This record gives sequence, C-alpha cells and structure tokens, in this order.
Amino acid sequence: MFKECVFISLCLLLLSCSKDQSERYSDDIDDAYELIIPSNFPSLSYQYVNNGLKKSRIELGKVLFHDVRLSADNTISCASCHIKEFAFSDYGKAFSIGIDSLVGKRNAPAIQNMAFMTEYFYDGASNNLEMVPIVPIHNEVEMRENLPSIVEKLRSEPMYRSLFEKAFNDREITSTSMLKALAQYMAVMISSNSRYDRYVRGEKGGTLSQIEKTGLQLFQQKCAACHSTDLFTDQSFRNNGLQVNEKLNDLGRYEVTGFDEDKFAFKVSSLRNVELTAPYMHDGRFNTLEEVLAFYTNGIVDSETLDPLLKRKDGRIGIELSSDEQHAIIRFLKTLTDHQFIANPQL
Amino acid sequence: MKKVYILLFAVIAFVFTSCSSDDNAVVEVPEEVLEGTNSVSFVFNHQMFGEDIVYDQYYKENSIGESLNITFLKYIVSNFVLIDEKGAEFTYKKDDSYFFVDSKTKDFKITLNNVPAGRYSKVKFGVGVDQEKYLRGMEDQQEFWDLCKEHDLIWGWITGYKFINCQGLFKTGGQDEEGFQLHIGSHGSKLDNYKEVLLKSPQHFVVSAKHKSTVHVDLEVSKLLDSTHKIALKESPYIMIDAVRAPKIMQNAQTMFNIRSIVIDKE
Repeated sequence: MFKECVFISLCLLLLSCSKDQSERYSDDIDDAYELIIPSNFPSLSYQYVNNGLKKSRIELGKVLFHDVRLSADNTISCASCHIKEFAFSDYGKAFSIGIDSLVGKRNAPAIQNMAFMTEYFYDGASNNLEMVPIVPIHNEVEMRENLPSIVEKLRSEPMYRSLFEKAFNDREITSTSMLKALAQYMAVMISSNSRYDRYVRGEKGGTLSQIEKTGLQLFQQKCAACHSTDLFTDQSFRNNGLQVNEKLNDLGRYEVTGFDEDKFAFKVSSLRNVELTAPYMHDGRFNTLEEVLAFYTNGIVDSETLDPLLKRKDGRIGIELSSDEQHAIIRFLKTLTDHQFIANPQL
Repeated sequence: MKKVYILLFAVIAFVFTSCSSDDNAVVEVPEEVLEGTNSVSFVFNHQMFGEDIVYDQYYKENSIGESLNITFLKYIVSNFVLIDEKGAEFTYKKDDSYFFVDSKTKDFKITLNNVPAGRYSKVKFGVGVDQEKYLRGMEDQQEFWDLCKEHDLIWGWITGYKFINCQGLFKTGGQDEEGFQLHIGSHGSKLDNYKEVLLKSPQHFVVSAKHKSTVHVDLEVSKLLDSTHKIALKESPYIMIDAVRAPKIMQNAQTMFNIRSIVIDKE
C-alpha cells in the first residue's frame, strides 16, 4: 500500500511538473499577446481559462481557420464563408454554400468581438467560444466532419506538428488544442476602431457629420433597446416580426430551447460593420439597409412571439420612422465600418 | 482474497447487540478500524419490468398502453459523492467523475479509485453533465467529449452532451410499430436538465485498504417513460429538444436507480 502511495505521489509530482513546464514553455515573453479591451466596450465574457493568449496560438488559429481539412472532403474552410474583407461574413450571399455545394438555411454572420459575447449563433447553439467550431464542423451541409478525423489529418502535416508544439507544447495534436487556437483567433477579431468608436472615445479622426449625429440620436431612441452597448447587441434572442418563410420554417431559438416563447426568435445581430455584411436578417432576405429600415417601419408581422418592444402603446406595431429619419440612421450605421479591422494583417 | 457478504456482518452484529442488551451488560464489541483507501465499483444492471433487459424484443404494455422494444440505451452519470453513516460526504475528484454507461454491455461497471476508508450508506450522483463542467471549456471536456462522441452522446448541431440516448421501437394498442428516439440533455443556457440522484444502500459499503466494495445498482428502464410522469411516445416519438417532456424524462430517470446489493471483497 505504501509503495502504491509513493508511486501515486510520484506520478502526481511528475504530472504537476510537466504541467508547469508546459505553461513555462509558452510563457515566452516574445510570444505573449496583450489584449487591449476598448474603453467603450463591456467586459470580456471569454476568460481564457487554460488558454492564455499567445501570438503562436493566434497564428495557429488563423492557419486552422483557413484550412479546408476541417471539412470532410477538404473543400470548405471557416474562411470559405467568413471572409475578412466583409467582417468575416459571406458577402452578398443570403445562404452560404457548404460541402457538396449544399445550401444552408441561415445567413453566415460576421465574426467579430466574439470574446465579449456569451452565446453564439442565431439560436444560441453554443455558449462557449471554444466549442463554437464544433457546430459548423458537424453540420451536414457545412463541413460534415468530426474532430477525431480532423486531428488525424492535421497529424499527417509536418507543418502542424511544429505549429502545435510552438503554441501548446502539444506534439501529439489534440482537438482541445485545435479548438483553443481557433478560439484565440476568433477572440482577437476585435472591431473597435470605426469612426464612431473614435468619436465616442474622443480620439483623433472621430468626427461625425450633422446627419450622422442625428442618426446616432435617433438610433439611441429607436434601436438601442436591443442593439445596446458598443457591441450594438444586447445578446438576447427576439422575434423581430419577419414574415415566416414557410419553405425554411426556421424556428430559431426554439430549436435549441424547446420553449414555445422562443419560436422565431433569433439573436440580435451586432450592427458593427453592417455596411459590409449584406444581405441582412438570419435568412439574408434584405439586400440593403434601406429595406431593413423600411421593414422595421412598416413591414413587421404580428405573431404570438413578436417582441413586445416592437408593439407600440397605440396598439400598432413597428418603429415609427420617417424616411428622413431612416436615412439618417443608415448614415450613422455606416460610421460603424471599421477599416482597420478588415485590413488588420494579423487577422 | 475472500468474499464476505456484509449481510453476514449485519446478522452477527445484530446478534451481538441483542445479546448485550439482553444481558444489560456493557460488552464492547470493538468495531474494526478502517484505514487507507480502496476502490468502490458500481455495476449497473438494466432491467425491464424487473428482468434483465433484452434488446430487440417487445415487452408487455406499460401503464400508458405502449409496448417498447429497446435497441439502444446509453447515458452519462457523474459527480459521485459517497455519504457515510454519520452523514460525512466524500466527493470524488470532479475531473475523474464523469462516466458513460452502455446498457448493452451486461454488468457495466464504473470504478472510483482511492476512496478513503469508511462505512458508506448513501451515494449521490448526477445524470448528465453539469453546466459548470461544460462551461470550463474544451480542456475539461476533451477525453470525455471524445468518448461521448464515440458513443453517440454528443450533439453536433448544438454544442452539448446528450445525457440520455435511448432508441427503439414501440407499439400502441396493437397498432403498427414505430421508431422512437429520446435524446435528452441541456438546452443551451436556457434549460439545465442535469439531475441528481440520491440512493440509500440497504447495507453499508465498507471501504478500507482491506475492503473493496462493489455496489450493484438496478435500473428499471421502463420508468424512463412510465414513472412520476407518464410519457406517451405516440404523442411524440422523437423527443430531443422538448422543453416540456425532456425535464419530465429526466425526473423519471431519477427514479430508475435502486441499489440491489453490496459485495465486499476482503483481503
């Protein structure tokens, strides 16, 4: 028994040593990445537990994000449908094309400011940044792959062996390291340097025209109840009154929770870089911001689960906006375009 | 190694105590001092109507008038806590406290190692994976996640575990057979379906350097649909993300488990 105890203790000691070592290994100062949280942002949701930010990890995440090996037939990468120039959305496409040229049923959302979000996807299918890639990887019409198979493919690439070793001291290449690296890459996709940001932070170049300021004011009165904080989403799930597309019959949040109250509710999208992320809504039904604003003014369809914020006191539904006001809001929304973000060489 | 049934102990102990009270004299029977650590194993015996489960076979109708033919049943148990006769709790190391059970493997066994010496009378465990574990990120899931993936206890279209995956066929009132599938887990952040089970043991399970206990747990699988709540498959043969039925099935699952007996191996 004593022998056993000694053996176990020794094992534990060894284990703790090796763990320390791996942490020390990646504690290389040159590899440290300092995350700067924009002063106008809320606090981080993703806490980097067991996944300290490192340049090498972000780099690995970037390579993985662009690697078609993440799909079953090696044709689709994350970047196939999340294109940097369009704030990591799939510009122009209502629905993206996945494996075998299959078409999904939701518009590929922009990927930005992920580390500040608590739930992901239009329906909240994941509430953990590290798990986010699991959804498109397993989706039958997106990548149709699974983690062990991807890991096997990566292991046969000498390039990955050195990348994983550098980033995680993981010569073996595990799906944990892979998902952590992808989480890091997504976590540093921070868009916070639009003209609007510089305006609110009182920085150089932060000027808004009169009409943009009017638009901002109107936005705060009419839109910011849902598109709140400088993330421009309150991260809730709401039915915004879109006519249900009978063909898709996408039940939204209900598909994840099973609660009737969540039928046709979708996550409130961030409006950052909205100029770049057309078409709009979960099914990409609107091609322009003009159409979107017109919808909110007089296109909303009442239903059992319509969000109460869209019901006015006088019994009518929708947001009351003149066409001048709609125009001003759109002008303001275009100040949320972050050219630095889409030109960032690190991403 | 000599196998001794605790029942024998109990009888002897009873005889001793009754003797001493009869005599009204203080006869101290020193209880064996238990030291060190050892393993405690749980063997799960899956049953339908009190008999060992047989796959691909129709059973008699349940109280809802449905006859089931089970073809697949796997589930997750976790977060084991052993409670001794004085109420003191021993919580098994969380990282190692997640297991899947396959009902197809007869006498499916899970083992807790290095359990401190004691006379335990109750066991508490969870069915499923708690949100805390899940939210700790991929590092904490890896091994168990891969295992669950292999055993179809992971969802792909949402990121989470299926706590119970039960599949088969059923007939209602002599009608044609239909397939059924129960995939029960937590619904994103909104509905946590993780549930705890507390089982009292009919006898103490003794642990020490010299005593190794095996707890035989019976599972009455029919209770999954026919217990506290009556779930008619005819109304909904595919129960996956169902905010009404999924929590009820989990509550039914809490009533399935029962400790049949304890076997103690003594050195």
